[in-house]
Amino acid sequence: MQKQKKVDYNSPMYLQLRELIRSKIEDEEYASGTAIPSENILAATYGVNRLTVRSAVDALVQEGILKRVQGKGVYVTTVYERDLEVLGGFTQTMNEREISAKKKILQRGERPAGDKIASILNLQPDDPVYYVRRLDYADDEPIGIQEIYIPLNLVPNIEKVDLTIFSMFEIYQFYGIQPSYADQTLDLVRLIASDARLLGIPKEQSVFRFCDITYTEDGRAIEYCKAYTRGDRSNFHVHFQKEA
Amino acid sequence: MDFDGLRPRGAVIENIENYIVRMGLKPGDRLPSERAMCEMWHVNRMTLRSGIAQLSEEGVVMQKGGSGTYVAIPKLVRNLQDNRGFHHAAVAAGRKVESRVLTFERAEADKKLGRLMKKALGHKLWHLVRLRLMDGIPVSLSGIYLDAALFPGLDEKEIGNDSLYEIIRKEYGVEPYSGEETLSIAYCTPEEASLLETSENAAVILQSGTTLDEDKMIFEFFKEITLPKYISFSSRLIRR
Repeated sequence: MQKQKKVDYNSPMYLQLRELIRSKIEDEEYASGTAIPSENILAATYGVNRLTVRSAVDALVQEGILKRVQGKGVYVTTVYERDLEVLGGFTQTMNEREISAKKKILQRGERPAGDKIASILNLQPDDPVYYVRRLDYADDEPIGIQEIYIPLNLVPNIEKVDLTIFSMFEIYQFYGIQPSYADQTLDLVRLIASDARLLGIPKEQSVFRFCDITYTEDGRAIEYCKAYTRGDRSNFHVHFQKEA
Repeated sequence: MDFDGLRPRGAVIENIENYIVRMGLKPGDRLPSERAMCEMWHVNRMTLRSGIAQLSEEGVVMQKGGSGTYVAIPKLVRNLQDNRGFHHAAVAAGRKVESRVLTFERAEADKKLGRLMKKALGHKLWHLVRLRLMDGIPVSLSGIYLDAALFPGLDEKEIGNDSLYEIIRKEYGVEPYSGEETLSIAYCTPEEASLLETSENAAVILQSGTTLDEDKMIFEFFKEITLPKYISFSSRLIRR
């Protein structure tokens, strides 16, 4: 759909090669997380010189689609595809795919809800909530920052729980809370410099922001979460349907 | 129960959002003067402005140069799980919708489109590119490929500002029933930025997917980029 100039047989070689590699990645011939053929092999296969290959690869490294791994070659960066229809926390989703999901707690503690959170969680502004700010990793690379607000009366003594070991869903189970559904909105935002640094991205790069309100089956709000997720490592998938 | 862990800018952002809720401010209502806000929350001007700038970028407030800061018109929220498309969502929200047809041409399925639309190589398609405006402001650019076999003579129909889905329903009896899409972050090409009246390389939400009719046949492949400042997306997550 983009009306940009099409790369065709008249274009410079490195651009043609760039688009060829890109389409092999999109077609999954070069699979996510695996190495592409070496510079020498690509040069020989397509009858171009190595400098041309390097320029094509550099362009895709710039875009974040490929990454150079010291001593090992050039890899297709992993893009995690997640869905927007199933309620399963970050940890659970990663575990299901056998991706290592490390978590680092940046901040945690009790605080008054304030007017906005109170109106979301059906509390009074002075009611206490438990706040957790967490950095999530996928395969040892920071992928997102989560800010979670839970009515404190639902989770007494949560300050004693190690939040790096247990997922929020497991914690809710300890407390006999069954999250049933969540209403989520999706946005793009830019982070302040310090948060961008935590995620390892440049300050100008936009990230996905998800604002979720999670409910139990009877419609009681149990959690408000703002999740900031790298767009260069994540795609989201959803189905749509005519209403019954 | 005091929580002093919030960084100053974060605290300002919370203060402003809490103030809007507490005072019941509506879109178009004015916030207190910068000086008053600095006094209320014991912050310096620079921190306040930084907080306002962030909320402005997020579309929560807007600044009218000189006359102050106002609560912004909320973004249009599009339900991702609804089959009815942009036109329907905007009209349902009481917004004025316009579409400008930029390209309307015949095309043929190449290897990629053929695979996505489950059509043979060379299958005849319509290619339609439209700029969508909401309340007079360009908000998204939509490019679709339609199975031409289902819509003979579509190029003779007046598309204009109408919903394309309405046209194909009325004129051809094709009902968009279901589909799937992938959302990702993309960056505007210079041409897209100029059409959307935004800065070059501005971040946009890219939706790309296919739509099926009631017979479960794919009739449309779409790629749409949307400015996040005006539109956000929603869905409901259900526990499996």
